Amino acid sequence: MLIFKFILFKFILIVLLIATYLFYRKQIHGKRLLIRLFASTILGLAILAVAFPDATTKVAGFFNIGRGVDLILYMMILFLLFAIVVLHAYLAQVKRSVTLLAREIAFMQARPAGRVKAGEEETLGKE
Amino acid sequence: MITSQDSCTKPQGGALAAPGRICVAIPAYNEEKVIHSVLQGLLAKGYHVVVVDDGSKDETYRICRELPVDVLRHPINMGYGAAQQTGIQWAIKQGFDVIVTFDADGQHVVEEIPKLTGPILSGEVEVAVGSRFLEARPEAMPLVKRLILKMAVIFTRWTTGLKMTDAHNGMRAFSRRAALTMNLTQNGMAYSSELVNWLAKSGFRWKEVPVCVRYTEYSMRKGQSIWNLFNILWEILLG
Repeated sequence: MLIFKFILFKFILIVLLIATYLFYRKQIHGKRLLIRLFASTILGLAILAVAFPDATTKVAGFFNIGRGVDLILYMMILFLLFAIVVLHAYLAQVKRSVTLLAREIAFMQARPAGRVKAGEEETLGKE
Repeated sequence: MITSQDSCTKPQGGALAAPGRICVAIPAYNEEKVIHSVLQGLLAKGYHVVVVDDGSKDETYRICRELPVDVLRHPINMGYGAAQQTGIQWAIKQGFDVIVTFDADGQHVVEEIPKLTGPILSGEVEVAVGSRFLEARPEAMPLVKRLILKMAVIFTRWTTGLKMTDAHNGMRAFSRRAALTMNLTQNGMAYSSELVNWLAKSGFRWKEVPVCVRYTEYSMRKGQSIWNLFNILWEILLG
């Protein structure tokens, strides 16, 4: 019975990890609220854990993890992972935007064949 | 080391079909040594060419400007995939019916282009992809590279169901209709994988065409190192 609870906890953890990865694969776009709700929940729980340290031990006891600190550690890892995933997805979005911008610039400054503009200076320098 | 293969210099037949409707898009990065001869080879056959300079640090841009080709330049270096996409979109803007992608390093052979454009112009397919493995050729490809490419093929087949023999060949041709739906975002080498996924999902008729690739000492030095396999996998899994 005790082992079952521990496995249950691990199972939940793994499910959350997989959910995090799947969440990452989809567009982050309309999910801002969801992310903020999730982050606030975690933050709220963190504040509670600091305010009532004995409570964490009780919860940990239910899952048979050991110490409250261990429980916090597991949750912390998950939260950090989630934060990294969100940041990564956001960066990928930014990168896409930059690509589109650079492409537009390339089109605007295109030199079609045979149409040489006399005396035109290079606006694009080599860095 | 490795010199040009004789199989590539066999005379390839076939007249140039409607050259005016075809645009050859060439992504280029630091290719000042060979870009001139590559472009001349294409111009000699009457092709319209657009070169996309992916923020080269050398004289590539200046050299291209001196030839009667369209020249575009990325203000920053973004990658092979991004440069291909820019070139293709430019060709669409200019109203071309068939767009061919072609490498700047001299590995691709101009005479093979009609093999790709022919089936598209005739309406047989919307997309034609070059393959190094369709025919048994005495190519001087390093065994390791060949093995890795074959592994890529198996991976592609497994993830997309597409029976392609060469998923990472830069020599491809698209009909205008197909190219219009191609909005690929992978900037780097994972572009090829994204392209295959797009092709599988799009349902466009496609075919593979045997092409010859010249492995010169220059292109081998510049070419994809084996470790890029890891890079590509990473890009696919983690975007």
